[in-house]
Amino acid sequence: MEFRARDYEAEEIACAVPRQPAPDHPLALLASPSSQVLPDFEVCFDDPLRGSATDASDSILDQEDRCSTLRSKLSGEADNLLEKEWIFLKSSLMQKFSCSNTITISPTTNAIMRNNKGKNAGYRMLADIHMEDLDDPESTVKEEKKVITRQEYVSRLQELKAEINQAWIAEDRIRALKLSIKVARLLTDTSVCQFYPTLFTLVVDVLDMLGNLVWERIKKRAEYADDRAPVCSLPENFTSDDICSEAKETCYNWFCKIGSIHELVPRIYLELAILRCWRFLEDSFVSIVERLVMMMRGLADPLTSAYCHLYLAHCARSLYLGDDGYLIMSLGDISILLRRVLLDKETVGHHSCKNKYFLISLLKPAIDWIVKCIFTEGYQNASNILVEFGVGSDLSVSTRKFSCVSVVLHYLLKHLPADVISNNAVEIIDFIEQNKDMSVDSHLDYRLLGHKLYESQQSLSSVCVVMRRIMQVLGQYDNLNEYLIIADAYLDIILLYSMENYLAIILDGILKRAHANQVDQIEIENLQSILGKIIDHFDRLEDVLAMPTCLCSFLMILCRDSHIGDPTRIQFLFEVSQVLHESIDTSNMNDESKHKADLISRFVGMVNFGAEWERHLSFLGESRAAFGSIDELKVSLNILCFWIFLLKLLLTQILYVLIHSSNNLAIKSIRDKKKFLGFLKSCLAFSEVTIPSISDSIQRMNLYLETAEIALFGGLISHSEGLVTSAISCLECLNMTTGSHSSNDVDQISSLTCKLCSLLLMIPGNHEEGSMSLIRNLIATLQCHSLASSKIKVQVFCAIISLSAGLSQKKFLYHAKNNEVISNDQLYFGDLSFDEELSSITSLVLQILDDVIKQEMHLVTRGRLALDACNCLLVSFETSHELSLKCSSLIDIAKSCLHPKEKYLRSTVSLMDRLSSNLGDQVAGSLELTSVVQH
Amino acid sequence: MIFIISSRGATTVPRMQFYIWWGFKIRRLRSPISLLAPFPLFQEPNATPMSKIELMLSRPSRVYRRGETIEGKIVTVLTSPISYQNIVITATGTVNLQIRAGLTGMIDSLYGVVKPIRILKKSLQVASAGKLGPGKIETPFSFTLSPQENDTIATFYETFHGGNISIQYLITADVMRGYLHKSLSTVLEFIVENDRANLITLPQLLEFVSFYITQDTQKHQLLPELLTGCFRVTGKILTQCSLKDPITGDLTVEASAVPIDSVDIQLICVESILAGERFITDTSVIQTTQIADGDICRSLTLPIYVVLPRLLVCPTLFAGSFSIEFHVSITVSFQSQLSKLYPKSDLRTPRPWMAMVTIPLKVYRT
Repeated sequence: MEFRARDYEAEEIACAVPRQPAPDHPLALLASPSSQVLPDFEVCFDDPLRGSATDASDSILDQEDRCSTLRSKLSGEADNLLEKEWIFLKSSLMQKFSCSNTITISPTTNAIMRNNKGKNAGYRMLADIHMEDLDDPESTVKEEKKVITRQEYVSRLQELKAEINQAWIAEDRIRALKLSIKVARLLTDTSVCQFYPTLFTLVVDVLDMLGNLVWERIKKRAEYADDRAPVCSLPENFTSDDICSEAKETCYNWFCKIGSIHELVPRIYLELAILRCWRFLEDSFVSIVERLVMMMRGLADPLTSAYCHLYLAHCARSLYLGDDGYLIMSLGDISILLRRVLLDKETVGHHSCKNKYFLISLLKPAIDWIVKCIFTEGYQNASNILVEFGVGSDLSVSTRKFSCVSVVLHYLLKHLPADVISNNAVEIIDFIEQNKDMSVDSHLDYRLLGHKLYESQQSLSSVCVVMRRIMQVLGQYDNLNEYLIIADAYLDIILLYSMENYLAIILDGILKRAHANQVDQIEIENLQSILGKIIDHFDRLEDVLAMPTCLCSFLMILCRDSHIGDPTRIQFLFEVSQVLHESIDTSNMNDESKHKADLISRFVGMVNFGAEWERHLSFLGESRAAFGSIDELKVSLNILCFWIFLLKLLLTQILYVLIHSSNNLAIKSIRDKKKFLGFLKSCLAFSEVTIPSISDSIQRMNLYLETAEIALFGGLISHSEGLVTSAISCLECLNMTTGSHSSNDVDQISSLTCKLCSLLLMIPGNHEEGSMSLIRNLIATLQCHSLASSKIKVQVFCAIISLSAGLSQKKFLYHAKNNEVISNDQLYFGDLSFDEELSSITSLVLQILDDVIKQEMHLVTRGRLALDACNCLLVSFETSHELSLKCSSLIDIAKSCLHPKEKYLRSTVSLMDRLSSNLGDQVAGSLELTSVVQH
Repeated sequence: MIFIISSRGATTVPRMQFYIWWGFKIRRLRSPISLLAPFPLFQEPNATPMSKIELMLSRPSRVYRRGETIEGKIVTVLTSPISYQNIVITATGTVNLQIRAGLTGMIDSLYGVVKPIRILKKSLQVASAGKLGPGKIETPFSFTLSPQENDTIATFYETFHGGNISIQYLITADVMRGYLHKSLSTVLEFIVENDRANLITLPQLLEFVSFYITQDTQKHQLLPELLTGCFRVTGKILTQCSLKDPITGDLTVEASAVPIDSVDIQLICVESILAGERFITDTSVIQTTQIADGDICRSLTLPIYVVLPRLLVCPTLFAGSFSIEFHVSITVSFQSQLSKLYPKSDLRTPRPWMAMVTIPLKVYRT
């Protein structure tokens, strides 16, 4: 019988589904080029090409510089720091709340629109200008909304700033003020609230500039006479008495002018911008600042209000008040507004119910800053502030000044000194409990509280009281993440004061909650931090693991993740695993121990060092040493090992390409290759040593095969041969106990053996032992096991026939992906002895197949096996008389055993008929074959 | 304090440069007698090129009281020397009464301008015939702000620029150069405040008046939703106010079923002029100040803080033929679709979505 010659490439082309080139990605968005998305980051710069603007601002910049140096001299380091932080706050506001690219301009903010009318404003009569300031008649006329991009908005504001500068330099202060009012008026519009923080920073920049200009001008008037002759030099801490009446007059005029602005928002902002100038007029500013805070109550929109308070906190620092009452008032007023937002079902201003959270997130920086100001200005009696906010007072008595909102409380806790907090801890806890609302999750408050408590290192008795209360609170949290966050914060205290009972409660609580719901990444990180703290604390791990069940569960939670890469986490888990391993009683493998072993192997399996192969290997070595007694572990060890190899091979493929493409790189590549080979060998050695200790022979065989494959791909042929031999010997041991195998195992064995056959195609024949020695070895192994089930035998022998057919081809279907492994088709094609060898094997196998099928007692099985064999023969051999005889006999067997309408039988018969009728047409025949194989 | 009129040519004249006094708010004057009308705005082109004349007063604020001495100097900057016959300083004070067109009937409007009342007219010769050299030359002068012996009017009203009534004091400097040459002249306004002797004695207790605005206090038609859902805005406000101080008070929105749009305080000037047999009264808004923007929190007390604009407000005045009084009007605007139909409506007109209260304000000088 002749093997059927196959042209695999032609068959692939013939069978392939017709394809069409697809120039466009079918899932790509149908985006038109006109709607290009602008970059979402904030670009804030002065255009160097806008010559006039920069020229004009030069002198201003000088002034600003002078101002800032003066300020830095004047103020202490803390203030300086705050100044830096203010700049940082502004930039973070811009970045944090970057918004969509387009902004809807409502008619009230038309300052942003270019109007040429403004150009002449400076030359019009005073009377006209006054009326304009009062009414701004343009604003009410236009009703349609305009949409411009964020970039345009920002650049327009930059232009306005430059324009103000120019107007000022041209001594046209009315125009400068007019433009500044227009800029400040922009802040009334909160319709695009995510843009508001950015808008705020831009506008405040302009206002700060104006404030500096006015300050410098009045100062100049105070220091110089009309003819520019210096009269006096103001000391840095001057009082209003030092100022001449002329300068006071000018200053008062400014306040009068600003006081006449109709709208509230620009009026407040402009007064704040020149707030510093009150120093020329008065010596006590508390009432002024408090009046401004009161005036801000007229701002109904929480966003406008909070940012206005923020600007006040910034500006008021320049007055050195030494009193923070106004900041507390600010917080109180913001709280009232927030409370209203939180309670109202309906909308407040432009802000709908849905984006309350968003609104609060926009307000947070403002609140944070105000609270920070309270404490950086050295609030003398920090515990008083708690009383101001009603901490510790009885709820039933409504003497509290403010209704505190938790977001305010949160920032208060953040900035309060630790000792103040710890002295009032219980009251604060009560207060947090009373003031829970949606603005800030209370677990964050508790976390802050925990950190502060730990910081202050109180006496044991006072901590005990607090902790008792905290444990009560903690019990109310059902959400794992919240529970973990709080527990994490208080763990330090628990460990410091060794409150073991609380520790047990917390661990228990975590477990209970972890079982209830899915654990995500953040929760795992928190959990890890908790466990890390515990492990760091106890000198001997055994102490911790007096409760191994607990840890066992922790490990389980941590291992839910797909893979672990973080070294500290690995180290930690390794330690935990070690302890667990020690607790396993090897003599008594009950369910619990099995569970633990399972966990450990899962852990090892998930470790992934990324590109650091050597470290991974050494880790695996360590693991072997540490967890030697667990069987399952080794399985995962090896799987991992192979996984590395596969990746490594991909790497070498790239190296090979490099060798071919560039001789220059060759030396380096070879060095790398050597390194790789050494590494590969060490991995193989590791596996070869480890595999025999696995008791399950199916697993062992599987592992041998995988390792052999890797070795072959790595170019280590002798290793590969050795491993295949080992695999075959595994098969031998396996068949001894064949009776006890379940059907599942039978399938596994047969598929493994088929895999072995397919591997044999790639392993180059050995000239010394004969090219077919491995195949013969396999046949012999199977043959001598009469107990092996006929199903396995038929499948394996069919596979061997297919293998032989494959080996006979001129060009093989697949090759080992390594240039050093020479394929059998290159070695033997056309070699007569090889062909003889093949045919002798084939006839031997055919004989065995016949015997096996005939020996099968079960009718249906026998029929199916006969059909299997028949199909295999039809595919493998050239159509001939001999073949048809053989096949007919097999089909006869099948017919005698199976129902005549059996589908398998009928399709086999039809295949045979077609093949015998299409003797001449090779490709068509092959096509048929492929389709059969595919079925 | 410096008022420069360049004599470089007629083309540059309309561009008046106001220095620090831009801070004064000068209302659009509806009368033909403008603030600037008496000023010789247009200089002859044959005036000596590059000659500049300025008046400077010793006080930067230019504020003087009765009986005080006004000191100052005439500053001339010349490119070539000129000779003069004499230099004269003239101080004038007038009350201009002008009834705005449309206020009165056809016949009344014929009266038009009520005869101006002269308060002060005083001139003195600073220097007799001489020569002014090139460069910057300062010629000092001084005179006492007091009525001339033969003058009957003894009261100096405070400087005021209103819509119908304007009380103005000017100093004019003239360098007379004979018949062949146009004289150089310049004008400067100075401000007169009541002298201390005539001051009203300061009330010992600040007098606050309580006010309340509800649907029942309004005389005009209100929106139906305002009538059904009640509102109540209360507060108190100072009714006697010093010119130097802001108007203070507070305001609380106690309840409002309809969301509030805005709360505004308007300062209103009431000018009355005796024309023929009867007084003609005109009210005008001097300044509007918003104190609440949007639907503010209920029961939260807002401050009322209104800075009085300079020059536009003077002490409350009752002269025989005219009077100047002030009112404060508190207007609460409610959010309403209807209000959007009238985008240009002012706060004086009672609209259904507004509620207001007007309180008289006595302004005095301390």
